[in-house]
Amino acid sequence: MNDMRRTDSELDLLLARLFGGLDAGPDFQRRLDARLARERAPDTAVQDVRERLQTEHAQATAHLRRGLRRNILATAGTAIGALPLAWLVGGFLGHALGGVDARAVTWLVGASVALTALWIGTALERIAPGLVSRSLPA
Amino acid sequence: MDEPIVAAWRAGRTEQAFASLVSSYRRRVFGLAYSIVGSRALADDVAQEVFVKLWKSLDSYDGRAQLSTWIYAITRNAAISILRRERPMASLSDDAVLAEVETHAPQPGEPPADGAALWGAVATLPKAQRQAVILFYQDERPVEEVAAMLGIPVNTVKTHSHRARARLAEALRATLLAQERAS
Repeated sequence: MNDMRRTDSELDLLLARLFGGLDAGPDFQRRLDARLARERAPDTAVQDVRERLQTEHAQATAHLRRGLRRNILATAGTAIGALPLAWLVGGFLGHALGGVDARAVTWLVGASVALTALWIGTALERIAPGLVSRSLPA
Repeated sequence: MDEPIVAAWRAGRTEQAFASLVSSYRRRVFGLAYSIVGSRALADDVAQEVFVKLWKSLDSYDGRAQLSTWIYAITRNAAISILRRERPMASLSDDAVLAEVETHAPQPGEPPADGAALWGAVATLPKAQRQAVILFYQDERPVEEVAAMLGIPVNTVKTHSHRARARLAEALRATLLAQERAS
């Protein structure tokens, strides 16, 4: 009986010695840190690309808005500038033709001139971007 | 015990939470992995995998199960996966552990015994008994915790431990008897 108790206590001691020191290696934390750094790296790259795309998208949107505003201003300016001329030409034609309502001819010619100006302005912008819009205030 | 870790993680203090997590669970994860794969090097790899997986998936921890239960399940799965991938015929004969056992010279007043012989006896135990013994003696854990780590009922762990101890005690008695006869 005493032998069995002795064996039991020895067994406990030996097993505790065998397995009590079981732990990860000394460089475990360093390896883990390196692994985690590698795991995080792709996330950083994706984040960088996402931020760059967002910046580029914002720049492109701002550029488009500026261009659109300038085009509207150019069109409106050309049309307004052409109206007095159209009014003069319409009045002259109405007077020359006689019997035709000078105001109707005025509006007809004015609209034609405005459309022509718009077409010319657009064509010029296509041929040489900024030729018309750059001369206008931002 | 785990609530502060989870709370810190959810509060965005991920580095601090993860450091606490590794500190709390490193030995347990390593011990559980070792009890399955039977090699320090592989257990180290398993523990690395487990903590990387935890880092990536701790956001998805919903708190329904205890954090420890979740971590043990991840560890068991990782260990089995690595074992299948790396060494389909893995055994518990680990040179590093054997070398460590050999360096444990008996201290004055301690019983003389052959650690390597006992290690050999542990290696011949059925896997479930061996796991129970390793996890119990790694940190003298309560049977309940060993059961949680292995994902089996407490009574099953008690049965495995009892049977394992009986076999190991028999092996130790035989060793001691042989030593007495030799001297």
